[in-house]
Amino acid sequence: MTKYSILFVILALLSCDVPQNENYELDKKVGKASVDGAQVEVVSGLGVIKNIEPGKLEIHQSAPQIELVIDPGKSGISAWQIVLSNSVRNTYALSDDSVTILSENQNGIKYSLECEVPVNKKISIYFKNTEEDPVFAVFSDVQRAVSEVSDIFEVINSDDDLQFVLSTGDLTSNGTKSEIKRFIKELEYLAVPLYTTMGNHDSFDSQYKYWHQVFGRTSFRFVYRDTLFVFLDSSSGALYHELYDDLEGWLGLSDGLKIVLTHYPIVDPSGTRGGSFSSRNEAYKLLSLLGENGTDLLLFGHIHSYYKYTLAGIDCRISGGGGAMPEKYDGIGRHYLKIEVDPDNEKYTIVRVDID
Amino acid sequence: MLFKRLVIYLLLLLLLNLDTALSAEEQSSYKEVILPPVAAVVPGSVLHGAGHFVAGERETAGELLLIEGVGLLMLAGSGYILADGGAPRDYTGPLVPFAAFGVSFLVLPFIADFYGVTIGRYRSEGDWFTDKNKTVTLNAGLEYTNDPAFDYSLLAKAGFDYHYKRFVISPMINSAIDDDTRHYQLSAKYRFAGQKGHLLENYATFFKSDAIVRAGYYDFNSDGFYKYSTDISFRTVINSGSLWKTTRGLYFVYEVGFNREWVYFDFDETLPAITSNQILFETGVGFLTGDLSDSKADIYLFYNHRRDTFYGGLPSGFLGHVGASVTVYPWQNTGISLKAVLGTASFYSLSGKLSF
Repeated sequence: MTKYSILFVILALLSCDVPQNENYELDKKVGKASVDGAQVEVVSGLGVIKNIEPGKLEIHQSAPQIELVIDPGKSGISAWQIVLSNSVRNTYALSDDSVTILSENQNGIKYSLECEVPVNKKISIYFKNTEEDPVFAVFSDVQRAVSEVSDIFEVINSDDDLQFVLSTGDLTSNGTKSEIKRFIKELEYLAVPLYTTMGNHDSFDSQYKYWHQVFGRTSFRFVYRDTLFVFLDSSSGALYHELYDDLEGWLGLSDGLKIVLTHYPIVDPSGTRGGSFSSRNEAYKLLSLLGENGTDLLLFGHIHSYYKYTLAGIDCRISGGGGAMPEKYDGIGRHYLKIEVDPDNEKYTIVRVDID
Repeated sequence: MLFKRLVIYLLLLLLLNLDTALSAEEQSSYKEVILPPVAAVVPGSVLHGAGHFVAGERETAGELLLIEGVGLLMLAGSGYILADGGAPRDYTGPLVPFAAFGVSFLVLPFIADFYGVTIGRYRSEGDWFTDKNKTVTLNAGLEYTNDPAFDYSLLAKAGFDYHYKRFVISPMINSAIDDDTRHYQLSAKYRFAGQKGHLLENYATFFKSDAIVRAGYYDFNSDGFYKYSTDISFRTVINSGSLWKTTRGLYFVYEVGFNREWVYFDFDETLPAITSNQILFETGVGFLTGDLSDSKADIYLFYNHRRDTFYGGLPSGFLGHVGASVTVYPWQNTGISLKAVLGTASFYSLSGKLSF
């Protein structure tokens, strides 16, 4: 009995292996759909196709500007009505002469377009905006405080400078479908779009597929006014291996400022607490890659307070003031960060906006 | 995967050939043999010591229950402060060992209870042998790892222990065979309490304690960083059988300490080092197989809180790694170890020790 019981434990341990991150595979599927032989794709997966019917398309944007490719195939569909949600203000469509724009309309963060496209040619439509200098809010870690998150949205809405909100995740407590739906309900009060990656709490219930249907990719990047924004999924306390290759390419996409967001602090400034990546060696490998490729600013969540520090020469902020159980004894409560970027001079300013 | 299967196969071979602890005549009484183990699980998983209570070992049962109570209090107390305080930066580090001790005090009496009524009480008394007279122990082995963040998968390790009175000095090198990663470590150990023991050093009469200092240099060449690391810790091995005779052959391990590391990046060596601290904590349970007066193997299961080694931490962002090892001693001066660890990486090693 001795040997068999222990054998069982050891074999169980040996049979364990590093869990594979489902999010990487799901990321690759985001932004692709087809109907009647016509194929549509949001380039780089920067939008979720919420609904597709012949001639009708609904997309939830994961970035301020996206490129939509329509390949009509043999569908013969020439007229499209495209509705975008989660759009920045002053969105407009741009394409080549083969696309006829019939009407455009924007109401808040919802934008709609009616257009005619050739039936025998693959076309691209770019949804752009007037590209003001980026001014955005960063907030994370709502978890159980979802019923109070509208307080934060109210303050954000009152600031006309803000173009969008970025989040490092933990928007829900356990990532269940009902919690995600509840948060989406609250998002209706937010007057600007929100782009987010996933936090560890969002992954507890393993509703990865549903998350992707709602918010889109968990790891992605976009360039806005020469400023690169990179979202890295560290919801498991680590990055998936394939992301390192992607990241190296992404960091070369812009010569301007490079801002990287991920949920877990790569290194916790309070080391004995260790609220950070699961492997310190991986953390240093990632910092080496980010530092070598000129990352300017790292934004983290997870710790429910505010920290300013430097890692590998990179300016870092932890901001977890979305309402989740706050870190006590530091006098910092609910808050978000307001960041104004000056792309021409490659500078930025960060102001913490306290809610309580 | 071939290496992993080989390790599993070796474990099976090894354990199926160990001496059995139970004899047929000792299992004659249904009431004595079956009921206590059942009670050790239900209600023993809640009320630790129930197995011994049913077996008539009331005093042992009471002590196991008391330890469980202490564990519960420690876990609840530290857990409450951690949760209520939102993992405050100044308190979390010191509280982690309290919480971890609490968990171990909750778990270990359950293991002792179950072990005692299934195996321990049938074991004959025997003098655990120690191996005091060796001067040098050579250690060498091969390690296979699957780390999603790093390219290396096969490492070789080599080192030796030099014993002088109550001191042991141990230089060691780990070198990746398929990568350019290297780890050099020098540790010094002083046995300030308990018997001396070299090769078979888990068999002290009541407990033994070591003060350990380690200094390490990790060079992750192609991953762009290197680091220096230093630890100070205290490690105690408690012979459970000296506390409760029914648990002969069982031992508990506790290690508490502090680590600091300095990290440098190849892309800019002028950057100041990232310095980070870490609370060290390990707790484990092990037991000797077969005849205690001439045991040929011991099995050890453990949790280790550190996240700065090749293992990393379990996916969570705050936990360390878990592992199991089996060491077989075909001869008194020779040991063969199989070890499996699961953290960010899964890790399997096969190593040998030779003392002279």
